[in-house]
Amino acid sequence: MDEPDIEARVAQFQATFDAIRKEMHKVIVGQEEVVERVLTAVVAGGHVLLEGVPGLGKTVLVKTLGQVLDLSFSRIQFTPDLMPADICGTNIVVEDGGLRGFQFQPGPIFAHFVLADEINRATPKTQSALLEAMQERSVTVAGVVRQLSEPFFVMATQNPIEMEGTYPLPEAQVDRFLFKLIVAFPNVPQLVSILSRTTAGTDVTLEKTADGRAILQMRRLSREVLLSDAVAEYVARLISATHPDHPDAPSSVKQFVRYGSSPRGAQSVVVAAKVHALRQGRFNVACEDVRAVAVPALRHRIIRSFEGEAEGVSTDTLVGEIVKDLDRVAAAR
Amino acid sequence: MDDTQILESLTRFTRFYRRQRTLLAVGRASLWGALLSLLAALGAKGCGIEWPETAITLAPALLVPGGVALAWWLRPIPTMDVARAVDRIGGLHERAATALEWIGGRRPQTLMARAQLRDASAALRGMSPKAAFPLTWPRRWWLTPLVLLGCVGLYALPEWNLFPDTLDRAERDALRAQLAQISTRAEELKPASVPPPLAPQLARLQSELKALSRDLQGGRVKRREALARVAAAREQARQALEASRGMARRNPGPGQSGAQSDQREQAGNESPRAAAARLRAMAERLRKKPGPTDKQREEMRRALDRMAKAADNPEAARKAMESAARQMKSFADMAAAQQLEQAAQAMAGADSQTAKTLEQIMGNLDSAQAGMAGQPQMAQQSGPGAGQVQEMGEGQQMPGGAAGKYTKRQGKAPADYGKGSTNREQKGAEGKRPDYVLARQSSRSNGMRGEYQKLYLPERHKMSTGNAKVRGNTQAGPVLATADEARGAPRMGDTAATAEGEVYMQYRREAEEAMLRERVPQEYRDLIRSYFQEIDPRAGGN
Repeated sequence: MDEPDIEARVAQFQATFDAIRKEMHKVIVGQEEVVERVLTAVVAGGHVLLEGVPGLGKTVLVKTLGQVLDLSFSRIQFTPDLMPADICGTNIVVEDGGLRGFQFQPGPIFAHFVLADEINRATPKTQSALLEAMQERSVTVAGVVRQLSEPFFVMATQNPIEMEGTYPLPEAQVDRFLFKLIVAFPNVPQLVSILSRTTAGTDVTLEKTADGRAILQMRRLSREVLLSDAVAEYVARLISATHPDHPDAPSSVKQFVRYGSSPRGAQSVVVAAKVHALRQGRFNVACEDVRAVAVPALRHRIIRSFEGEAEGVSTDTLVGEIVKDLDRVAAAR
Repeated sequence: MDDTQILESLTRFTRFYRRQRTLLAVGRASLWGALLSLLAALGAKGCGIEWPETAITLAPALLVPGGVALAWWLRPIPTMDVARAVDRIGGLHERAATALEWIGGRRPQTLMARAQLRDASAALRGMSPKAAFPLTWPRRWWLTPLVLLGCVGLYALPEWNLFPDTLDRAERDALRAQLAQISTRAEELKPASVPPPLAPQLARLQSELKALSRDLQGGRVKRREALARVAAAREQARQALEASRGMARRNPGPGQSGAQSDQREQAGNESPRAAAARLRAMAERLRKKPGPTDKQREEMRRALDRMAKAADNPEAARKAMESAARQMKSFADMAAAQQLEQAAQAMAGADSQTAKTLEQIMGNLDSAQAGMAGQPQMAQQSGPGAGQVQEMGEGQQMPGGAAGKYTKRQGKAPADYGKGSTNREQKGAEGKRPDYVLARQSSRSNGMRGEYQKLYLPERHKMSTGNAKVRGNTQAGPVLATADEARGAPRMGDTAATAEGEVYMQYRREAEEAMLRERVPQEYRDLIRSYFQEIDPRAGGN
């Protein structure tokens, strides 16, 4: 009797996902892939690092997401003088009926959706506070551990062109983001559409298509998707091939990569691929799903060598070559 | 239910996959087979092997794809491999492989897993094996027929023989014909007429010749090997001939004592020729009137018994002798004399026929050796106006006598009885070439070549150094039926017929006689005497 439910739940998953995406596109013009990946990360329970020049709608994207999902949203503008307490919250002295006592004042991290704008402008200490919260999904203030509410989603942004006075994220901290998404500049028709929507003074009314509970259900469903040994091996080979000292690594990796992806990268690929499989209406992960999420999940986990940076070889290109090489080897078997 | 359907579908796919996989492997292997055939055909062509023997070179073109087909057909196909192949080729996105893993029971049967099995089952049912495993032509499939065409095309080309060390077909056929001729000759020797000590040697010779003939027919024989085997056969024949001659020499010579002769006679171990003479003498004595005395008769009977028991004597002779002894016992002297004549004939015949046949066999083997060594048959060149010339191997007979290999040359020059077998003589006798030359070919070793070249003019270097039989007439005209033998250039290891000292003395004596007879100036006489002193072998002259 329960068996038809799974197909219905998958169908519901697809419908909800499509509805959220559709609502977001009422505000966000273009950027289909970014929206798709952000939603994938939300469902998969990961965080996203957005990279793009200012004014491309990164903040609007997170704000819209919060509105569509009927979840709390907060934005933290990272500056060099931002302190961890400004993010996590702090105990303040309050007076109640003549009695004074400490009361915890939660910081902006206590929201479902957090936009960490220009995260690389804060000091490493502050960055670490946020990244610890992202990983542990809890904060500790004055010895008290406080759980963050689920779903908890952080979207950090980086400006790649203004590097003066910034504190680039260490590799270990970048690794905690599920995806790194590049927000591309809109093309002319999209730009025209943006102009017509934002300068006419008309407000867009967004419908709340899902809530936190629905997101969590979707997350649970995605974790049930089957992963065969063959696909798991494919992922393992993919991750191994990002390491220049691995025998299966392509020549470009050996030449231009200093460090490859961590096992966390493999986990990220699999959870994202599971969501992708459900989006395709499948109950199992396919290699195609892995290929679809490989670039956003691995591009920030591969550290290029000096030669790679000097040559301007992007990690996207490297991941693409690894995938091609893997497929060639698989086809030859 | 879904499990069963998935497994059934995969079994169906496996059958189809096996067929397609085998066909594809055969397609790929056929090119390798064709290339191997081409290599083999090139090799065969290079060795001078011709159709239809080279048809075997086409075997790899059939055997390689056949073997590959068998191997691929029998090779087990894991179901997981089929599932992965269906996923990859049919675009099922790992549905089949994942389902198969969960069917195995190693994984928890969750709701998602059941849904996946249903999904995979439906996907597999909706797919035809032909769509999953389309039959594709191997890359560059057209190379295979092209290579095979080239392979067959090689047969149309003229024969090559890049390895002269290997006998080509014509040479093998010629050698086999010669061996057959030799075998026929050897078989013509009736066992009863062959002295028993020679019988095993002749049998060995025959079996060796037959084995060589069989090898020549069956496959490739190296020139060197064939030469060695023919040389071995010749050695056998030579030994048999020596044995035969040795038997002939056992009669008492001038230097032998009468006691030795009597001893041999007592043992019945005298030479066939001497025995034949004794038998004829006995027959004559029996025919003479009055007949022999009892004592003589008894002696004759004892002698016959001894000779009949001698193992060396031919069987026919021994039987005739036994019969004669019986007739003598019953005083039938005439019948006994007749038997003794027959025994004498058998003894003499065995001696001469065996030796003659062995000589002929040796000649034929020499000819075969020369033919394989690539020697042109030695023949007298026919100049303008020369008489008809025919070449033939030793042992072959002249027209009117028996068959042989002849090369006719037209001309009308007077005959030369063998003179001209050396360069100098040939040069001097230009225009006087023989009408018919019967040339015997002989082999010439590399070591011999240098010696030969020191002695003869360059145009003779390629000619045979063996003995030559020359036949011809004294003047221009038709063929004569006479034949003579002349010695050609000697071969290494040949022994001189006459001792050098004897020849020297003969020539010196004749020169002195000539000087006495003729009017020769004193200076010339001194010069001639000085020449002979210089070449005197006793003084180390040369």
